[in-house]
Amino acid sequence: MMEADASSVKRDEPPAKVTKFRNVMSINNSDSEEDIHAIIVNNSEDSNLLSSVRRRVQISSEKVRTGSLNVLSAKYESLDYDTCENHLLLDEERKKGYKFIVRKSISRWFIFLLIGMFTALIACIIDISIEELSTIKYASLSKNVDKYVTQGKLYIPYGLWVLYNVVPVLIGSLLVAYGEPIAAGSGIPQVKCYLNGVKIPRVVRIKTLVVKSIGVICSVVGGLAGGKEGPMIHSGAVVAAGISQGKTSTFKKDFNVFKFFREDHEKRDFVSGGAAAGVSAAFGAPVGGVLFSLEEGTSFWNQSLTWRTFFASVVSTFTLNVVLSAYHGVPGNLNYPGLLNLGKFDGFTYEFFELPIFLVMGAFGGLCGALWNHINYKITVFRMRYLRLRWLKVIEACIVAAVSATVGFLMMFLINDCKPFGQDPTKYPTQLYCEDGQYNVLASIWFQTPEASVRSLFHDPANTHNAVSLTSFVIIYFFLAVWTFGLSTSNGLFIPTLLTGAAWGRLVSIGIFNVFPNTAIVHPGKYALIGAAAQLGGVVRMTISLTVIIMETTGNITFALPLIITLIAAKWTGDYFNEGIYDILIQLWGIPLLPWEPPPLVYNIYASEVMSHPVVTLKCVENVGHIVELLKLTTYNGFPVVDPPLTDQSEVTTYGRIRGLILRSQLIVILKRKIFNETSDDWDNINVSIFRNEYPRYPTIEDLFIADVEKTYSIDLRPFMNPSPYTVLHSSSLPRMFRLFRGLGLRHLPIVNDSNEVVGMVTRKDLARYRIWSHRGHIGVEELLISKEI
Amino acid sequence: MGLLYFNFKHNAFIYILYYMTILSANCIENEDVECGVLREKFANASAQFTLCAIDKSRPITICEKCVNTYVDVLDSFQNMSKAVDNGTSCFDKFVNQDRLQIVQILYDNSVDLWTRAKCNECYDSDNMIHNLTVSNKTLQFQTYYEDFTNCTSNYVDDFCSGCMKDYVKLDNYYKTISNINEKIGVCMDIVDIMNITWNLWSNNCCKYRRHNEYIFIGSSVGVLLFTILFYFILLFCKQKTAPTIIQQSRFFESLNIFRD
Repeated sequence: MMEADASSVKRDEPPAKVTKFRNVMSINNSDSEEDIHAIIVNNSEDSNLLSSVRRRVQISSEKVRTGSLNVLSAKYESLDYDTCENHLLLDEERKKGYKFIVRKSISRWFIFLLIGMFTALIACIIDISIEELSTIKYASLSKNVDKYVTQGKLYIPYGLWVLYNVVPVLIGSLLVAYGEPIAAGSGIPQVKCYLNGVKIPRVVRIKTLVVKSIGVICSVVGGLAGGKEGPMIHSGAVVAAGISQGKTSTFKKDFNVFKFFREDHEKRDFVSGGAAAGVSAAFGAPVGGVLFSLEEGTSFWNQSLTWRTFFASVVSTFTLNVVLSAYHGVPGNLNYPGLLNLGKFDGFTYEFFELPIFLVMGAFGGLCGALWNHINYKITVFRMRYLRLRWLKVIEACIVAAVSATVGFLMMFLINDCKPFGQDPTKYPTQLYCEDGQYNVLASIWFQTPEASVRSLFHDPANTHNAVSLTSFVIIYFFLAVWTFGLSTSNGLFIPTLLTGAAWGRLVSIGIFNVFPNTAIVHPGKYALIGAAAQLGGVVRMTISLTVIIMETTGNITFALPLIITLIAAKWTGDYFNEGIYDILIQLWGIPLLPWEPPPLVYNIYASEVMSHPVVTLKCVENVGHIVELLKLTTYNGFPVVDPPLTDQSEVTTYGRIRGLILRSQLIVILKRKIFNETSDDWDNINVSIFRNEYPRYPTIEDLFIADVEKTYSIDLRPFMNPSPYTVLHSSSLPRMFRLFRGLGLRHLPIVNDSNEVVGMVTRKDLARYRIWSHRGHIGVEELLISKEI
Repeated sequence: MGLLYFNFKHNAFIYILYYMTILSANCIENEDVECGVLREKFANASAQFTLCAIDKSRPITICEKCVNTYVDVLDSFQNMSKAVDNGTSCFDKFVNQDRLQIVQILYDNSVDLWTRAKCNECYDSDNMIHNLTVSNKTLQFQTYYEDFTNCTSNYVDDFCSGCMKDYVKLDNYYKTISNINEKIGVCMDIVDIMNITWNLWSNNCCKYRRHNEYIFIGSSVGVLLFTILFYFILLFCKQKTAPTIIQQSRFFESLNIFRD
């Protein structure tokens, strides 16, 4: 029995532990021989069953290949959403009254106002720069194509196009790769993780914002298959985090305002507002923004936060509206609510027989989306394995830019789809091989920003595009978008995905029109819209917010039901194959994200199994040298403060009774301020603001200098620790702990035995390790591995 | 009983009809002669314009040929709307009386047709209807077009090389005045002439646009090959070392250690 158990634990060598601080088993506890035996027997009895359920793949060696979805990274920490109610805080609370509460509430509203405005202004800067630069670029390209085509020198405009693509992308990817790698991609997964309670390093810094904004301008102007919507959401989040703190660590400037918001809990609420304001600015969809924040991010939601978030969203879209209408020369005509303006549809209708068509289109979108995600997953894994040098990343981005131009030009060159101009608005009609008075349809799609292409696919009259050009466009753009997403440039996937979907949606409408030529109801724009929704739903697997965003961007409320049907079909079909692209990325990065609900089938897993066992604890009055060594040796961030165990015999494990919980950051501040018992005469004013002033970047233990004599001093931890941390009994089940964690946003959960002694500690990673898998009708829970190097 | 009811109804109907006749007769009697004349003028002008527009619909020369009738329509409508008779305006009698508004709708139709054809662009109009003079742009275009047609009529079969100069002149001039990007273009007459010209030219002469683009094809294939090569070379790059798994310290393990 014992051997079987030992092998299932699979331990090659005892892991390195801080044995000095290890708790040894208590003698006054009932952890007698029989009890231990009983636990082990129980476990090994059904060990076969457990191993089949718990882990699909037995990993024989201690190494896995890069790019596994089943490894969590050890480097991500949680945010401290739980307010530490120590004595200092209670002292502060006692001094405050009505005035403080009113001031705090007003400042909170004021900050949400500022968040909305600044997010919108950044959106304006991005939008106007992109529009101006693209106008110059595409006008020049269109002119040059027509100039050189008669001379047989098409390589000149082609070279020009490659140049116009590569130069901005080079700038953008250099900035991202060397400046701030976290600014790559859309930023939505990062914001999602942040709102879930995972601290992603550098994600809400002002440097990230700058790199992201310039990067997104560069990549869209550079003609990559990407959009600016995802980055806008990230920008909104950064703006929110920045404004609410009233200081910037990058520029080392403290404005000495909003100090009472300097904690993770308040910052999180502002960031959720900022993300909503970003969505709202990007799509002109305030309600969609709020719902996005609810659906994708904010795990902690209440009525007043919703109301403030909505306020920020509306302010954001209003500000954008005012600025953009002034830019377009019609100040006061508030007609530019969002960056992505899909244009208003003039009320089309739908009939009963169309609903099944929408359903099928949704399922097809789910299929395409799953394929998209799978290919992108493979490419991302390839990049993680082989493409790690920065300059290689820059080269790759430039190659994609060049290939985008090449493919576009080849399509125009090979497919001679001509339409007479004057019927529908094309900004830069390019003749190429068409007859005089006609323009090349593919050139008109390629010689504009992808966003404008989406709009023309939605609104151009029927017969603008023929089936051949649309088909080739769908295929090419699908792969181009898959390839582009994940480059070291900041661009999102909303627009390319919408574009692909809109193109195949239009193809469907052409098909239906050929089958039933008499149906007046076949509005190509309607099918383009459904296709776009299906494709996007299949890739990102969002439901509520996507429906509302599309409804708001198209200004069509009656179309909610078809959209919902499409998105549900897309999500369910896609979920059968894999997860949404954001979740795949989060898993690849190994971020311990806690989903909404605990995994099923885990009621039989108990805290005693989940917890990390030898807990490093501190005494109420602790030696300085001990603390310094502890902080240097361990990577833990929370230490239970306990009464010293009754005996000091090293051969028996004893546990200490819990008195409180103290965080590494608090210890660091205490050490930095040298608040030692022996030096109590030199203490200057100690209140809770000493912790706020250091927030959010605390020095590391290596940065502190502690003299040798100081190491003999001692610290009384009681005024600083959280005297009433949440704890659970070792017999509680995994779902119970999960709900507590998720609902309260905890970071540490000490596990106690029935005499309130700390026997273990559960953190986010311990819970995120249990993940559901299902394959071919089998379902189970697997335990993920944890690695430091992802 | 049924018959009686029918009779009653029938009588009532005749009674109402009778009164209506009297009422309408009163109206006609009261109507001023001048209003009637004006109305007839407008009807005629409107009819003439419609006739002309339909007549000149292919090839479109509505702006050039129907301008007089259009001015008549505007004139007669304005006269009618201004005319006051016995304290009530004629306009109220024809237009504001009912919801059908025949006169207004027919007038709007004519104006709409004219504006959609952008005919005003052909004329130098300073918002005065009577001062419609053909604009210089139009005259210039017409001269270029005449040059071109003269040229083509001189050649019997192959006018392409001979009239190239005139064609390019015409085409370029059109491009300068049309300004496709903007909403306001040129008037429909010119657009139509240009379309016909383009058609003629393209059908006969557009055989010289395609060239052998070897350099372009070569370079684009080169870019694609380079891309494949790039990824192929990457495969030989040093792979990222596989991540090492951290051993978790768990309760059961500690029991084992303890027992060892």
